[in-house]
Amino acid sequence: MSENENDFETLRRLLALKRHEVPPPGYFENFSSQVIARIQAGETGSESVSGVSWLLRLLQAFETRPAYPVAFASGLCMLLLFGIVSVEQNPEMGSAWPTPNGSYVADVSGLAPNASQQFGNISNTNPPVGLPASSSLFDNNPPANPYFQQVSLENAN
Amino acid sequence: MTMIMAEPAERTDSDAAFSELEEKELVTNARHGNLKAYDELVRRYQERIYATIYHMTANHEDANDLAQESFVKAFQALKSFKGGSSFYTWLYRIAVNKTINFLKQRKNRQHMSLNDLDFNVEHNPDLVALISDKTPRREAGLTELQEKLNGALLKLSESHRMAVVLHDVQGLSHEEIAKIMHCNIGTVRSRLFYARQQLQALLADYVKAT
Repeated sequence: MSENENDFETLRRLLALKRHEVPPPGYFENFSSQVIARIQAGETGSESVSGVSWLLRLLQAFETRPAYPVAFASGLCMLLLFGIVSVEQNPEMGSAWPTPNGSYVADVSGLAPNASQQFGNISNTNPPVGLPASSSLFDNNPPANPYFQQVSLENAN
Repeated sequence: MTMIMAEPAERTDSDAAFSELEEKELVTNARHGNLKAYDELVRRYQERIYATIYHMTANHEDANDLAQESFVKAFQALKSFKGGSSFYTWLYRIAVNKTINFLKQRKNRQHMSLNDLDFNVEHNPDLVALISDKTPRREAGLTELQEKLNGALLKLSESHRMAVVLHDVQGLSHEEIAKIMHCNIGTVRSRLFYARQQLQALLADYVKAT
């Protein structure tokens, strides 16, 4: 090892230059009082900053390790994709589909059979009326509806 | 950087009394919350702790902040100090760990902020020889040499750099470095050897010439 020490003698002399690097004049005069001031400030202020320290540590981790923000963003994308796929596969989960005229119709098929009647009783003061089932949507002879009234526009002009 | 303004230090008679106390007594008093005793301990080791951190970071502002934080952390951890090693070794260990953690975090954004060289440097015959007519880089001034040297040191790993700084710059023994860095003496020697080898290659222009 002593041979190696001799090999590095020039390097060691070069490293001596580091000992000549000195901080600004008077730097150490106030150093200890700054440390004591920080200790005293820490005793009173440490509790208030502890709440944000975890957030700072998280941000520092994001800054220093690029893998963390990438993993975080990937996780978010996966969560979003999972949400989209599960909604498409199971429309009952959140079915509010737009109709051709732009309004939205909520699918209440999954509700209890008497739910609409119950809601009708709450929001409508009229007695519930049972409509007979129609054979076709464009039936020429609509079923007798007590609220249906045929209106003719021919003589309007 | 945290800057806490403090009044310029004025030494009173009681401060002077503390300066005569043994390290053990100061540590005992500081453990009981005596800030004047701790102030004396800070004064005793501030230059060595600051210098070690500065040589590791090559940045005055970072060194200032880390040195202060090391002393604050040491005070807060004083109750856990069992006295198995000297206070000086224990304090060094805190500063070294803090510095290595800091350097790992800022690995990709190293920025040098070097201190000025003192006046004595021009009277150091070894250093003058390095930039004299004998070297092929005689145009290089001491400031340029300083930048090259710090740049080369920053290229070493943290553990290799620490070994060189503590031994070749600070003048600590292998045994002391082993205690501070929590490793055996063989590891210290091997780190020193590889660190010097790398430095020699990085500073070949300056080292080969003499």
